[in-house]
Amino acid sequence: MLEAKSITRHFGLTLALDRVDFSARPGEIVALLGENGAGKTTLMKVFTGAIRPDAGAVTLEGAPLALGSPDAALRAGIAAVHQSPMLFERFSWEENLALGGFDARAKIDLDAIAAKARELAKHLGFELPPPRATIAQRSVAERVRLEVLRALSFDPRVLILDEPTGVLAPNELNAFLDLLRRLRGEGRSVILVTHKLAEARAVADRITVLRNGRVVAETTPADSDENTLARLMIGELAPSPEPQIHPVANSVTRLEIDSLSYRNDGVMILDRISLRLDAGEIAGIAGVDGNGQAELVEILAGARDATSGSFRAVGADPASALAVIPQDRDLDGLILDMQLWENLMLAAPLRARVARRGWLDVAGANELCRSALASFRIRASGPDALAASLSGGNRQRLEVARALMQHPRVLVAHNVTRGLDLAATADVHRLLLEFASDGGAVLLISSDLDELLAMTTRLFVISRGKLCATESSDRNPERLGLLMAGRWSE
Amino acid sequence: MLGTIGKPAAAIALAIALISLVLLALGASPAGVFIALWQGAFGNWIAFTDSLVKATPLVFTGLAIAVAFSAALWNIGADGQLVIGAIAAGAVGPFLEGWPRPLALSVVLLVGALGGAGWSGICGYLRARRNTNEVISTIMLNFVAAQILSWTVHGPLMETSRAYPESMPIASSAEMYMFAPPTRLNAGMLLALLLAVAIFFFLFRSAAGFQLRAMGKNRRAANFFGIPIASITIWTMALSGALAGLGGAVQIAAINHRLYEKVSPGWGFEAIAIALVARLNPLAIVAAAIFFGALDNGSQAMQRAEGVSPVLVQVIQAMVILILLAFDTSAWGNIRDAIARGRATQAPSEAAADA
Amino acid sequence: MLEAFLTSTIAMATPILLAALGELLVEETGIINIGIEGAMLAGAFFALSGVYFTGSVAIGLMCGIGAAIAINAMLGALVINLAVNQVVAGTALDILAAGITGVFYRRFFGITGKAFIVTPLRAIGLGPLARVPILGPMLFDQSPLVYFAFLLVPVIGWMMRRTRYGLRLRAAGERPEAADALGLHVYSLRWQALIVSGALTGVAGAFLTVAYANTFVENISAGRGFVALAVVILGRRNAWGLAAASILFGAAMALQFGLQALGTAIPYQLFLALPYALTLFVLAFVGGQSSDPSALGVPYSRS
Repeated sequence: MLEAKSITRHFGLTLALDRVDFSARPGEIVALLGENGAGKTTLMKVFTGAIRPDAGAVTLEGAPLALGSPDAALRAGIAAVHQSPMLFERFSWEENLALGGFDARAKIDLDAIAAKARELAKHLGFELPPPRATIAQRSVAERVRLEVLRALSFDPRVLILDEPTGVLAPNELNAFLDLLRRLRGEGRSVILVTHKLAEARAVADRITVLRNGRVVAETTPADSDENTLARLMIGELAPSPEPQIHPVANSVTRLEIDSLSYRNDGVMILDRISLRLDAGEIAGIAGVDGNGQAELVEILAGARDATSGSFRAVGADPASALAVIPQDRDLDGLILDMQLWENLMLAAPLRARVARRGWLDVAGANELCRSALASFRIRASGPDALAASLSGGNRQRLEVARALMQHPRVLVAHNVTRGLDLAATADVHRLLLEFASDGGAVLLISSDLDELLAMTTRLFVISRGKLCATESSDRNPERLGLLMAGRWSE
Repeated sequence: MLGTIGKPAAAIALAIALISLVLLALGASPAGVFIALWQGAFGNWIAFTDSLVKATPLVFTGLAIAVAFSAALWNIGADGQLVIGAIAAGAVGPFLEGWPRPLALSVVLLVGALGGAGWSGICGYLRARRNTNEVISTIMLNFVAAQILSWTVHGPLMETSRAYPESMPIASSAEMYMFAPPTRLNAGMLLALLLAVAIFFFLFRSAAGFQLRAMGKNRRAANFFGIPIASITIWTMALSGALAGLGGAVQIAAINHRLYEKVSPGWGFEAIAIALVARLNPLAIVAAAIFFGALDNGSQAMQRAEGVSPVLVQVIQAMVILILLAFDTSAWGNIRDAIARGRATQAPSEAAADA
Repeated sequence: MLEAFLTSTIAMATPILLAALGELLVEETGIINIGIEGAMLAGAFFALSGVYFTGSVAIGLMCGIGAAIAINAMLGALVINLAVNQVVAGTALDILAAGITGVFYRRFFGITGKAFIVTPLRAIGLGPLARVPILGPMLFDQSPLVYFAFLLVPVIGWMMRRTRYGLRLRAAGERPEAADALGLHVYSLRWQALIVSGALTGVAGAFLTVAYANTFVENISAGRGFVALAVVILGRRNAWGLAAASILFGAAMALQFGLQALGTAIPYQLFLALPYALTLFVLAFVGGQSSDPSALGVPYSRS
């Protein structure tokens, strides 16, 4: 029985966890539910020892848990599977597992470890990669499975899974939930950290709802329906459904991608991608992370060269006609160490607007930034604030602002609402819809099917670098799940 | 809490305190040493002007480091690039007898800049195309440059009587304008000041400078937005080397007038301390260079008065760098936050609403 | 002639190899130690001082090791606990070591003109093996530090590839957040690597003064620490590769004296420059660091 009392933690001046009480019993699945930014991952990190709370205590089977020490947590029997699996890219999967609990001897015997892993994997119904294969080439689902194996190798009493289903295809989801039930049957405590109501209700015995760092409810699926839970998560009436602006596509082509291929190190990452995007339409590419989307986005942004094929943004000024928003806002989209107006200047068309013969008009750039902050409702102290001082949602608003300010014809956005709370998500979606109804073309690349189904008029699926168009009859999660897994003929 | 001048000043103060300990360990008197340093640096008019003269090569190398470090290119070879610039100047200079001075000076400075640019550009090219670590490559070329210098003064450029290990003197037309003999104030110092201003505007007011700094702060994002990483790497290293090489040429034209076995007492490394103290700001580099130049100048007097080797200033330089690095880390941010939390009573809901 | 060259090659390779082995450990945990040159220089000076003042080689070695570890410890405090820029911190330590050793040297020896000489640490010939023509002296008549260095090669190679400890070190350099999440204590692993590396680099420096030159001159390390950095890259982070690369540079350094003795018309500066130019050339040729630990040189702070 894992019990946490009055856990409190600050980050800078922000209170991330406010006197949180939480418990998980053996043989039960507890869902820790909350929207992005509610503090779920922070609480999870307290349990795994990655973070030390400012106040509060945790006990496991009555014995106090030494906080802030991952070592102590593992020894006490708490293991976790992270949102983005904590594996070592360049090591083989056996070496990754060797750092788990299968074998503690000083000399490493990879074959012995592989044998034990194989046993456990068979028991769970997993498949393992070929011998000595490195993580670098594994799919996301495989990585999650490997991390599950490694976590289980510690024979944990408590297994924490942080948003594991976000990266799985819909058809893999059920198998995963079955796995959780099996682990529960073994007498373990399973904590499922998620923002997805449906999954929480499908598998959990109890649900603890976190909002703004506080526990606002402890309930069960039987006692709360989806609307109640949504209201608890957000704290008000569930937001009205996405605005019903229906952009109308006219047949003016804005983006043409013609047989685009990308090969790296002998591996075909993108395989003859072709599509046409018209003004006023929002098209989506659905796919599990790691099927070539990131490379496609980089090629469209001009950061990577395709191996063959071409693409063309049709517009008066080709240089500014295409704006791209990358999925990793902190690493690719923004320079956290630079001021907001400087971050705007990263976009070449905006730089050109405030530069004359190579010299920047700093005052003009600041003015441009000031108006952007106002019109896009970005909360920041001013154009000279560092990007690092902005919250995730405001950082994303800034990126969308930057993209829209160059008056593009085409906007490509990759996982653009990932990690954002509902308010920021709604904001971003609204901006995209407005852009489309004003005649812009949007290519939405995402692994979030809810988002895609709500926003797009046309939907593609990408799997292992191949693009497949869908019919309106395909527009449901089960069917899309099959397509995302590459099972196109069914 | 600590202002922009506060931190470097505190670092220097702490360095002085630590140095005093070292001096006591050596059996020397800290007070005596610091007084001797002060006297040597500012005691009289000649000393004062000489401090400025000694600061001049530091401005050039300091600017070289600032440019490279702003792009996160770790150019540890400013010393070698300066030496190559000096060699170029010393090689061409003797043959410009009879030329009009402005032309001769321009030629000498130009070859110095080109020499330094090439020496550093090689490393930039290797970094851009072969991903060769520029720290190691620039350091290696430091050693090679020192040997080339040694060879020229013992060999092809050796002075005509072949008795001393020094080169032929440069033509008098290639000598820098001196402002006020018998001091050694010269036009090269003016050039250094102008360049500091120019580099400031370049880094902070030009589109190219912006791209350079963006690359330095976040290479991935810069690449994503189409900033040409490879070509910026090459021309930034070349510019950095050019500045250092120019410093070498100015030194030859203004002060040395010929090559000796040793041209730089480590200006390329001292420049790292200067660039850090100045936080990579070209205007502040001038001030920092004057400080360290005065230190270098005073150290000769320190040797005479207290018997402590001038090499001590290297210890001071190193301590300043280390202390500044330690001060500058985000570790202090956590302490600041804890203090601020204790004072503020921000309601959790307000804070969360920012998210 | 050839024998002398070969023997010299192995001798010259030794300090480079020791420093490189230490640096390999450090880099596998994700730190790049530009201050290695300063550590070697400090080791050289303080080892010699130790022998000079106490007459005991053992104490001298301890002093040298202690000095090098002190330099590495300063780096550790800065780059591990405070997560500062590793290149700048390392460079500062090089300057510090040059300054401190220079000041102390001149204070106690330079002015008084006392000779800073010790009796050399003798080579130990391994009996009849040492008399085998050509290869004998090179392989079997060297200072004990040489044997130590080369015997360390298979030990470190085995440790890195086959033991759990080696895997933990590599994990720290590959992805420190993941390593910490597994309870591996990245800070502690990095400190351990720096201390062991400090000891090895101290021995390398000690070798230069106590076993090889028998005296100290300023900047006696002459860039060997930096060459060791290159050797780690050239040896592909493999202990045997490091040994091979060290021997290559040892040969380049030995060549200086050999060819000078020949008295050719080629300027001696060319030979002095040779090891450095060769390092650069080979680095350029070998190209990118695809074998680098992914987190090498990246400041890391446990949140």
